[in-house]
Amino acid sequence: MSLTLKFKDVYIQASAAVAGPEEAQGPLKEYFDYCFSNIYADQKSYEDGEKEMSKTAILTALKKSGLPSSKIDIAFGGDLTDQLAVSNLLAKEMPYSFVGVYGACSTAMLSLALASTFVSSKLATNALCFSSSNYGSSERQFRYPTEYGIEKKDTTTITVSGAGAAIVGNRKTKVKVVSCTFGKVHDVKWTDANDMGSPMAFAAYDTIAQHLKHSKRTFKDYDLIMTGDLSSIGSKVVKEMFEKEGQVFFNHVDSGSLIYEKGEWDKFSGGSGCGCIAITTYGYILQKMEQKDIKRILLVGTGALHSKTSVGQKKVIPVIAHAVELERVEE
Amino acid sequence: MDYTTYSEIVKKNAPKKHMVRNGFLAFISGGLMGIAAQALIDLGTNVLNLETPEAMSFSAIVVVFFAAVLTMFGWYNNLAQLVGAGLFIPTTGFANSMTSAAIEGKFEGPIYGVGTRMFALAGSVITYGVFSAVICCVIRYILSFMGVAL
Amino acid sequence: MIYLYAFLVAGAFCLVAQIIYDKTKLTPGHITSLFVVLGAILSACGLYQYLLDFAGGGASVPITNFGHLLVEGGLEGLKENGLLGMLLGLLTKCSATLGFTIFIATFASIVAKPRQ
Repeated sequence: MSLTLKFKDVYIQASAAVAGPEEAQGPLKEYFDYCFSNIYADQKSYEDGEKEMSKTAILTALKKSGLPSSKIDIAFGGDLTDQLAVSNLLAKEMPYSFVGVYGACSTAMLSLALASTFVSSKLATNALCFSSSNYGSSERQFRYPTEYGIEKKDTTTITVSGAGAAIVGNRKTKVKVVSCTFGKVHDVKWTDANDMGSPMAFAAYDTIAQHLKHSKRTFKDYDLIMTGDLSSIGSKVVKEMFEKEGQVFFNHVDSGSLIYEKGEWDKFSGGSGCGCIAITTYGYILQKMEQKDIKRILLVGTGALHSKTSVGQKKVIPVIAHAVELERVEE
Repeated sequence: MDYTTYSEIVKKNAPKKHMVRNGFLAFISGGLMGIAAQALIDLGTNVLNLETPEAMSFSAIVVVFFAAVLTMFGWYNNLAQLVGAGLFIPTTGFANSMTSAAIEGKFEGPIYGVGTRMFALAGSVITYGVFSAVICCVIRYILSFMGVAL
Repeated sequence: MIYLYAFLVAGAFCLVAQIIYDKTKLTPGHITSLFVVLGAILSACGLYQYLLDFAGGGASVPITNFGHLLVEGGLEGLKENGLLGMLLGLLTKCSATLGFTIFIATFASIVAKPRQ
């Protein structure tokens, strides 16, 4: 059974979303704080570029919050790179405590949930959470060199080049972090690394179901329930899973399907990566909430917890989903 | 939800495979590569006055060059997405796998980046090619003592 | 006519590979390794040369030819100097392709940057 926590006095102080060139051409481009024109972010390597995007997101969020670095008590963050090297190299520039977390593509929500837990328990007054992903760094780590001529399958998702950061604190603002559900790792006997949406749909289904049960809520209580990167396939799977249980998941949206224009040939089944739900939430969703278009949302970050080695050894791909509930504060 | 129900839902929602379209594109692309290779062989024998084996090597070198240049300009993988095996079976696939890996390996330096990673994808072709060739030759060697001429 | 056969033979190899790629979980790495071994076996049976004579470039451009060149070199060396000759001769025929590919890949790593 998954752990659901109800938070007390946790509010989003500020957030920032930084994106790469492909995302800057997508439907959400107006909502990003800054867009780089290449995935290197004008740095020497993909990894340096990802670090630069993450740094830009954090500094932008800090600036928007009006808080100096000294007021940040702790930071939670992560990315997809081996041993979180990108986040760790960035964290060495931070004067506050850093806890690196790996949730694969659920890292954004995992870090938000942890930061909120610390603030709610009064262990911290202000906590930073961030996550990033980069097409180049994750392709070369998990798949193949970016210029390799492999015919990608239709179920492929494209790693978003982007970074999102948010500061949570106890000062009242327009957006409240209400609760979270830390997901359980699931094994659905899945070994196909070309389709991660389908197995992650199971994790999303379980975490959402657990969250609704613990919060004593139904789908109708939310304007939107947004999953991280279930892909167009996983989105259909999760909706059908609830249908089989007699529930209509009518308000589902997947951030991977929002980030790129629909039907683009080189985007396959949509976007994925830590940056996917991060920049969609910290750019688009939060602005929509402040504009009073969304009142209550459940964000469900989903992750496929495999490595190239584990897949090479024909092990299953474990999956997880972490959910965070946000609500607009009425005056 | 139990695993059986879940896996039925997944199977039902799996995207349709375009096997006929993919097969057709691979066939045409592969065929065109065959024609190009033959044209290069003829260029070698007729214009450069090479013997057939040398002309075949010349043809292979030009194909490798063409694949490497396309990879360097970033065009190869878009073409490969379209034609699949039509490019990975000809020597273009071998050349692209080495070139793309080498280009990306530059970030880790010349030794462990370029030098090692270059063979990450193409290595198994060389490994199993040589391994099976040695076995085949040894079998032929043994057979030669039983009257099968080399 | 050789152009027609070149088209058909090369196309056929690619079509079979594409079917394997679409129907199974095998990657291009698996399939090309399989084809190289296939080429070596066909060559050792004396069949690959017929294919080359018949289809020219259509048989020399697929990766199966790499297997053939290895065996051809090995057998030539075997004839001259036994097993040691086999090892000496193995890489002689494919040296042009292999050597040039390594060279140009290294050169590319100096002048090109991926995804620019």
